[in-house]
Amino acid sequence: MKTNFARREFLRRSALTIGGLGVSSAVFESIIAQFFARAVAQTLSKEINPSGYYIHMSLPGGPPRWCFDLPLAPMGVSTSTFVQGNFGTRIEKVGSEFKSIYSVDKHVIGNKTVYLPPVWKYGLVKHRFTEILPHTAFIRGMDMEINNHNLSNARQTAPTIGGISLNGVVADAARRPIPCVVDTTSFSGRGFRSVKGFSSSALNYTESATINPVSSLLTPFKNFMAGRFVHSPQANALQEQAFKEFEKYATARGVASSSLTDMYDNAMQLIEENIFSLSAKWPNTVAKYRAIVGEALSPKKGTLPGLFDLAITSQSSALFVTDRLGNKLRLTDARDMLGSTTKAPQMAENFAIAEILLDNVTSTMNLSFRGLSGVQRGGSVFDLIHDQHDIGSLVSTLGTTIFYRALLGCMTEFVDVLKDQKIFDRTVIHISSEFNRTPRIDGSGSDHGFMASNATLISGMIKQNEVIGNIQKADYDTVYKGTFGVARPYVLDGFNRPIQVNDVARTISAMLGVDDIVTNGRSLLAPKGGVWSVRKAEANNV
Amino acid sequence: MYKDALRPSLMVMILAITVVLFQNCGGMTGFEPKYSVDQSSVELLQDPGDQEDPHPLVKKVFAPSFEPLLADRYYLQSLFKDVFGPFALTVDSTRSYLNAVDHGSACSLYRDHLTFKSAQWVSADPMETCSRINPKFTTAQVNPKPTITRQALLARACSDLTSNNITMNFVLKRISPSVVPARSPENVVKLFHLFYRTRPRPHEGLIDSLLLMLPTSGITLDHWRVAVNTVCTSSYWQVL
Repeated sequence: MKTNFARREFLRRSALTIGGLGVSSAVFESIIAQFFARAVAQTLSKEINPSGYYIHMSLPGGPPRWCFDLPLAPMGVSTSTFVQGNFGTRIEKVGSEFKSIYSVDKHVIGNKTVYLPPVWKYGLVKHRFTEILPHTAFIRGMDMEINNHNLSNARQTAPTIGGISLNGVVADAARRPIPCVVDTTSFSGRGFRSVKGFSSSALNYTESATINPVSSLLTPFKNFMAGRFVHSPQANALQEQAFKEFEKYATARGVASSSLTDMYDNAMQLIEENIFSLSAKWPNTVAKYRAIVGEALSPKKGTLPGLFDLAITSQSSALFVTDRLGNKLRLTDARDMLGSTTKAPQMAENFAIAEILLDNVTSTMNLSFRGLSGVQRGGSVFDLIHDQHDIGSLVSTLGTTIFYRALLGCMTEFVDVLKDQKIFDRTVIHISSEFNRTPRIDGSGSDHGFMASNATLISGMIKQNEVIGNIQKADYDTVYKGTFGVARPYVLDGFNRPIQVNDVARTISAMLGVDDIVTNGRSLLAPKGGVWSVRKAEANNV
Repeated sequence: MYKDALRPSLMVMILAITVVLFQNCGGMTGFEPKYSVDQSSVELLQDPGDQEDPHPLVKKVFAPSFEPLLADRYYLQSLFKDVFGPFALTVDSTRSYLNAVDHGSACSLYRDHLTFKSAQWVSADPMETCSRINPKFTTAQVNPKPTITRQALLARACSDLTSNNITMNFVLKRISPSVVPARSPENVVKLFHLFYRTRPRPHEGLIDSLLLMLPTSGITLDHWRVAVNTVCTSSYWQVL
């Protein structure tokens, strides 16, 4: 972008060209002086940004947690303490039947060993997901406290319901044209609250190729002045002089507000600098992410060992149920559920929006990712949402793993972009949902896992993979026993309780250097030598 | 002789002055602050008055500040309709005010989700009614703040409306019956009060600055466009 100089020079030349409207030379000098005073007062400065950048990625509905949560087995998995329920991370043929089974892969990251679901090895041609693992902190064993989709989803960014949100305090601390960008279909997006009273800007996006959400968002800054008499150099010059008199008038009557005039000047500057031109980046950027999503959703048969390598038959099984009505796949090969109609709604669009707007236009945003749409059932399609009460484990394992594959593909690309832009070290990406799912069988699927949920942080401030939080073997009510029962206390800072959303919120606000929004949170990470690492290395299944 | 006597006297005086000036410095061994206060501990203090002996650094200054109460999206759209006529609401930038969340005014909890219209109950305007159709309006602030987006939209709406002959002719009719009002202080004041309603008459300097836009001879619609656009974008009329 150009500097303020362009506007000052523009104003100077405008003033010097006055003459057609009968203005005296004495007035010229006065006008020029006022121009410079006003131009210098402009406060928009990309350099002044004391805080970092924060993106919350919401997965509304409570998706099966294994893909992000299962470094859950930090010491490996003990079959004696694990109950699978309707969970699985891999599809294998056992005898003549296909089953969704649980297994993890060993990853050595620096001097750490973690055990992750197979999806982390299902990379794309140009994207190896493991590249982001050193910058990832898996927080597990989180007690979400509330078994409620909407409220718990909102609490991910605003732990006090209706209170100040993480997006809000980041917007307060930043100086960007748009305080925050949110998807208001998500409750964590609607939960935006700022101390300064900012409002968030709502995204208007769709899968339609004709809609450019960046353009919609920046429409107020689209240049409207060309060819209009009211914006001729002479008119601009006279208007600037009159504004000075309006300021005097307002001051005398106690209604002057420098913020109003500053914001007006900033708006005009952004228009002149053509910030709207960022919208031209949309087609290529979204096409890039759509290609990644497309590749991720369409694996070649015979690839992705343990998922897509073998034809999956036996569709009559309950493992192939697709909805609460009991509909099943009617396909010869279950892998065909991923067809040309299958999409990951908003995924490519979200990452394109983040890539274009972060830093340039806003410092914080809230985006949501809603599973898969257009999944083939055989003669019809269905949406594989995250709230999978009634979805058989084979359908769930296959669909959700592929969804995460697309998400990780886009994430890997996005992290590369942030690194190239030199802003990854001041950015925190927070992935979470209202809860995850338990192995407790509900319908043909699984129930809400609000008592032992998870969150994931990805940031350049994190330099080694971290796994935090404890999980207890058994549910308190002993309805079932299993590794994934409930969150177990994580003793820190005098609090003897499991990790909660307050702790994650405080961790993020500490990393970003913004005001804390909770009174009883604990920062789980702390800076040591410029690197944010875990304060208490504890991640047990007990 | 006097010179010799003066020297010890001066020494005594300097010593005495030094003692008086620095008599409260006893015990000072340096200039380290009594407490080491970092920013996080400042933020945690709920009320500095609770501290028995607060260090000056932890005192918060509660300076009065002026937070303007601004017109909301409904006010702005209504004003544009009043000043520029009904056609103003067909201009995109004016119509978009109802969608401008950061212009404040949440959807109304008091509106029914159905409204009686044309002899039947129909869905109420989703822009006004809190509903799942348009959840974004639940987040609109009660007191909207000056933002860059708000001011950009204002500049755009004013420019659109003053560049449109229909809306310009409407506003000029409100100033004077003639097609192009004459250049006069009273006409400029009328223009001023279209936006600054119930406000006192502007001072001469302001009037003169607007008159500068209107030539003494050969005045045209274009000259008035500049004057109207200037008042429209002058911002302070948004302060309620």
